[in-house]
Amino acid sequence: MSSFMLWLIPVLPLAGFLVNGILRPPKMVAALVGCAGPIVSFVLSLIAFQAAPVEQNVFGWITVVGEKLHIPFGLRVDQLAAVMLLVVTGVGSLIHIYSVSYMNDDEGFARFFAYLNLFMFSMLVLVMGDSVALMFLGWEGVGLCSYLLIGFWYKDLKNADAGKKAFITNRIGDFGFILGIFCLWQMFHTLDFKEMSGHHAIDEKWATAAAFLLFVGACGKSAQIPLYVWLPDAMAGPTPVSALIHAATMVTAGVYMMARMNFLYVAAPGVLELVVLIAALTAFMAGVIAVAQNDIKKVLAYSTVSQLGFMFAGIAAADFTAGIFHVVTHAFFKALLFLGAGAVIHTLHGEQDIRKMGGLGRKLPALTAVFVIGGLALAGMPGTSGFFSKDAILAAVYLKSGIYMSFAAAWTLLVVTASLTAFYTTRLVLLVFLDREGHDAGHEEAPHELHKPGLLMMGPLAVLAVLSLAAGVWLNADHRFEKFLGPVWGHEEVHPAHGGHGLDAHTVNVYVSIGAFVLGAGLSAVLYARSHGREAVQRWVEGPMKGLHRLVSNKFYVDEIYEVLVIAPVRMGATVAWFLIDRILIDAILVNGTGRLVYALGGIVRRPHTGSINVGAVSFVLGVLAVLSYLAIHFEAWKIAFPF
Amino acid sequence: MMGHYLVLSAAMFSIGAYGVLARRNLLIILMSIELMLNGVNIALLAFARMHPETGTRGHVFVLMVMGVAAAEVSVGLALLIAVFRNRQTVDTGDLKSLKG
Repeated sequence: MSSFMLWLIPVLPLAGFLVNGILRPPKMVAALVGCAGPIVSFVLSLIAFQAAPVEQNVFGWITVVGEKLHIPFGLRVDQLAAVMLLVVTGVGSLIHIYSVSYMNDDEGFARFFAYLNLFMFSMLVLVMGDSVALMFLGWEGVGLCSYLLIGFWYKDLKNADAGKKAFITNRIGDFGFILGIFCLWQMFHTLDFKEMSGHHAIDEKWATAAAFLLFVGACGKSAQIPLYVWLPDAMAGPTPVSALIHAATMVTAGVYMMARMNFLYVAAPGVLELVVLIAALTAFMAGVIAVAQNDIKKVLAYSTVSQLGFMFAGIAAADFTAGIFHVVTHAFFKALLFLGAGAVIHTLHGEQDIRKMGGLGRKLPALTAVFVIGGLALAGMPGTSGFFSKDAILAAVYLKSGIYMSFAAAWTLLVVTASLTAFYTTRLVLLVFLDREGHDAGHEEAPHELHKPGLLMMGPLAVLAVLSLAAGVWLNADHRFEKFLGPVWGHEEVHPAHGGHGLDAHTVNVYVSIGAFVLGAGLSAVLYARSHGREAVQRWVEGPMKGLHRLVSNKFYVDEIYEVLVIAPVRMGATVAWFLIDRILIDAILVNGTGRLVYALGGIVRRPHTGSINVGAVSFVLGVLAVLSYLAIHFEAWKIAFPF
Repeated sequence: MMGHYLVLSAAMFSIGAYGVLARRNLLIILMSIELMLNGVNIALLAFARMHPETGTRGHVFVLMVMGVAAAEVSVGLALLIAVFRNRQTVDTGDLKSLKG
């Protein structure tokens, strides 16, 4: 493909946004326009994928002559961007198609597709941008769309609040990102990825600062400790949004950005140690919380946070391929799980509490099959895509754990988390789909019929299920994925973790991964598959484990701690600033003070204004006399000024 | 010879100026202004005759002043009538709405 078609990939969804956003066409048209953009973009992405690497300078964007700052609006699709491009447009298209059915009864149908298309545009700019500045433009764009879509049903204040929380939390991360960009400029005097990676002498202090600050940005966007709190709340948005933005694409932007900046992170090993610790801790903590959640979407949300931790761990081990591999497989199976959860919620007319579900397996065999496939991939069942990518990450971290204590600790946490993942995923699947004696009767007698998902919903689910199953094997076979991405990291050879002397580490981790899966899934099956197991759990939760359960199901009270430690002081500061600066300085002194001053001065200067014509005339004559006498005294000068 | 003209001119100007400053009837003030303008005209003509090298410049100036004076007095009288219609007075002592 000639590179001049690259700009079409982001622009097509933008066109869809404009049509749906401004014209608000009827449903049929809105659906057609909304889906056409991403699908055509997907086809173009396939062509770009074949042609990668390609690039195109669309137009000059920012130019500051004195500073030699010149940032073009350039798009570049190298192998890394091509992979992301396919994931974003591919999974995005499927979710668009699914949404046609899911959002069918919503009055904001066209608005929904407009936002979704705007998101696609921003995400594609983020992925394809050839400089950090352009990436940041997309980064902010997806943040905006995330906010708009979380609060899509804005009439419910809770949803609007969740949107604000996401936006503000991201703003903290973005602050770090911007500072990181400044550091990059200071180091390289360019923001173009290719030019930056070509730089040889990287100053370690600046590199550490930039790497850390960019990671702060990634923490916000990709929901890592301490900025992860917004993602679980983001589930207030419609379920396709959770699937597209808050599972498959946007939240992985942080991972993508760090993979893009691989040359920087390789130069800052100290930051990588911090990253791996935060990543492992996030993965573990979110995994623990997910065990005690009862909202189907909340379970998946915490599992997303946890899986993002895995991806960051891969990046931190400097095995960027493994991190991106997990981004791709996670996009498939988590989108599948979210869309499946959406179908479940849709079927049950909005019910989200898994304790009230059960027995769906018999009624919806097709949906159950795809959901179970997604669950197995998430749990890391050997053979599924999730197994391969998680295993690659564990191997990469394991390989470094001989050198760094931090990696050893992180590896241990990640293995435990892998087991936890299998545990809560199995619990979720069993509670939702398994027949429960005497429990699911309530639903069979429910007055309304089940709202069974149609072909538009099941089609995308089937595609994602196939991908969740097969993508791992296919990409892993013959190191296909690694070889493809190799040029991006600047080394063609296969990573030692998967060949040569690293074979040992790989084998060890395969067994560890299988063990973790069997342990977690098995334990969960024992506890949740049968009623006496569930009763035992119930007894523990109400008895000896009551305190622990309350702590975990309340998410370790992190929101409450933030409320006291962060929000309350900020609010206090705002109140003080409002009183001192707004009320006293601006209102009292500057605004009213100016008025009073003018009034007082006016009181003085109005005295000579008697209003009497005679007084005016006299002063006029006196003035003329004064001017004339002046001119008479300076007669010579006057003659020169006005020669007659 | 020249001096007489200038004395007359100065006298007319001064009388006019006194009228403008001292009288309170708007009509009289307008008439006084005319007196001042014509005093100036006489001075201009006298100087023009005294300096023939200036050609007709002084005469033209006088015609100019007369034209402007005619326009001014028509506007002035119109204002005067308007003020009288509104206030029933043309006494400057009573017209003090501009007092600060």
